[in-house]
Amino acid sequence: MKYLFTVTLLCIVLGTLPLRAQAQSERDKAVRLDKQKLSEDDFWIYDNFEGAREEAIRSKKPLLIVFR
Amino acid sequence: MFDKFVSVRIVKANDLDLNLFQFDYDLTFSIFFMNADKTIYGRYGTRSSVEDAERHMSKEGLAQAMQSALMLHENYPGNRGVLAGKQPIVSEYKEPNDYPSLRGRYKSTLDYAGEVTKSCLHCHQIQDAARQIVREQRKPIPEAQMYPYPLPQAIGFSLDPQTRSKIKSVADGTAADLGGLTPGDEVITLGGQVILSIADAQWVLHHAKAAQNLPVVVRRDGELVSLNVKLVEGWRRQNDISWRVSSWGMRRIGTGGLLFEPLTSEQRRNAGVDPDGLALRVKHVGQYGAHAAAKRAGFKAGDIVTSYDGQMSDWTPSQLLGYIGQETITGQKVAVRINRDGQILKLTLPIQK
Repeated sequence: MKYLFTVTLLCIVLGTLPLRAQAQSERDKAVRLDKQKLSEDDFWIYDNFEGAREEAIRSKKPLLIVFR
Repeated sequence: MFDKFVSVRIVKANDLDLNLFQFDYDLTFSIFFMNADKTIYGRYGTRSSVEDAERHMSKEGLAQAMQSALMLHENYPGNRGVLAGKQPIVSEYKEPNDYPSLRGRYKSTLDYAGEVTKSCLHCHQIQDAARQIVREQRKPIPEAQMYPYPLPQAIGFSLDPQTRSKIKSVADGTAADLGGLTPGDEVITLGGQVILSIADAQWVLHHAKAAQNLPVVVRRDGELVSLNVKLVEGWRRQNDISWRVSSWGMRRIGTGGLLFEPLTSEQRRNAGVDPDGLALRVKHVGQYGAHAAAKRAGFKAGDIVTSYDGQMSDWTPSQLLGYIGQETITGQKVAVRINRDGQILKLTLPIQK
């Protein structure tokens, strides 16, 4: 009985692993793509608050900081 | 208008400066308008449900908030005094990694070459970590931490998301109603702070006392009108916290992974439960780990909880989570009475870490 339970549990866990890994990989891909897109954009500064601050001091503009 | 700002996108909280960036950490979208010297002009971005993340936001509202931020910037630093209330408060923890439960778990940079999402510390984890400290001290979670960043609805009014701060509705008999707020009023200041958006109003409410008079200045028919809204003890509990990611942890702690929905009057009649008492139907039973504690205790989807730890008040799911955070301690066993297809059963839930 214990053996059967262990085998069943293993099948469930192993069966869902590829799905979870795929979802994880897709999320990772989306984050990398987002970074690439924003890094190539002249308008947005990507994840660099101090860099943005320096630019704000230089340009005398206010900062618009988006957490997303 | 974006070209009048230096725009930066922050994607992680790993090395977030908690002495500067204080906002509702359950949000997935939040904006700060700021001077280069780190003086905050205002905030934008809010949420009140899992399904509809953008209910209280709009391009028009954002544009008006940005316009107001530009005006504040133009008059800076002459207006520094007016902005004092918007500035952050000294935090005991300088960055998320300083919290005991997060210490050493995340690097300050993301692993873009590897599993990048796993290397990211999410904002809501800051809220979880702060609550964990209190729970481990076996103390009640303070009201402002349990019900953070209340929407103006908690005191009886809503703002039109298409505008900067125009009042859309005022509920009868509420603090806002008794204080004289009226639909159509434009909120200029709340608690003495210039309001650029709903998020600014939430910042004021988050830092308001348990009971106090909150001064409000509104523009009505072109005239400025000064009003006072009286906050009475318990006002924060009107704030719905059930949508919050950080409430997921409270669900594990006090319900063993149960997700509830309130019953309508008709559903109560059909089920034969008290029309004025506690009646929360189990919508989902967690299946794994600590979120399966209720399943192990015998709970099933469809069960109606009519008493929790001897409490039978007509709570919303949010108010039950509040009770768990403020009135239970880890290791306690809680008696729960349920109605299952007309049959009354008594089950026990463990209060978990």
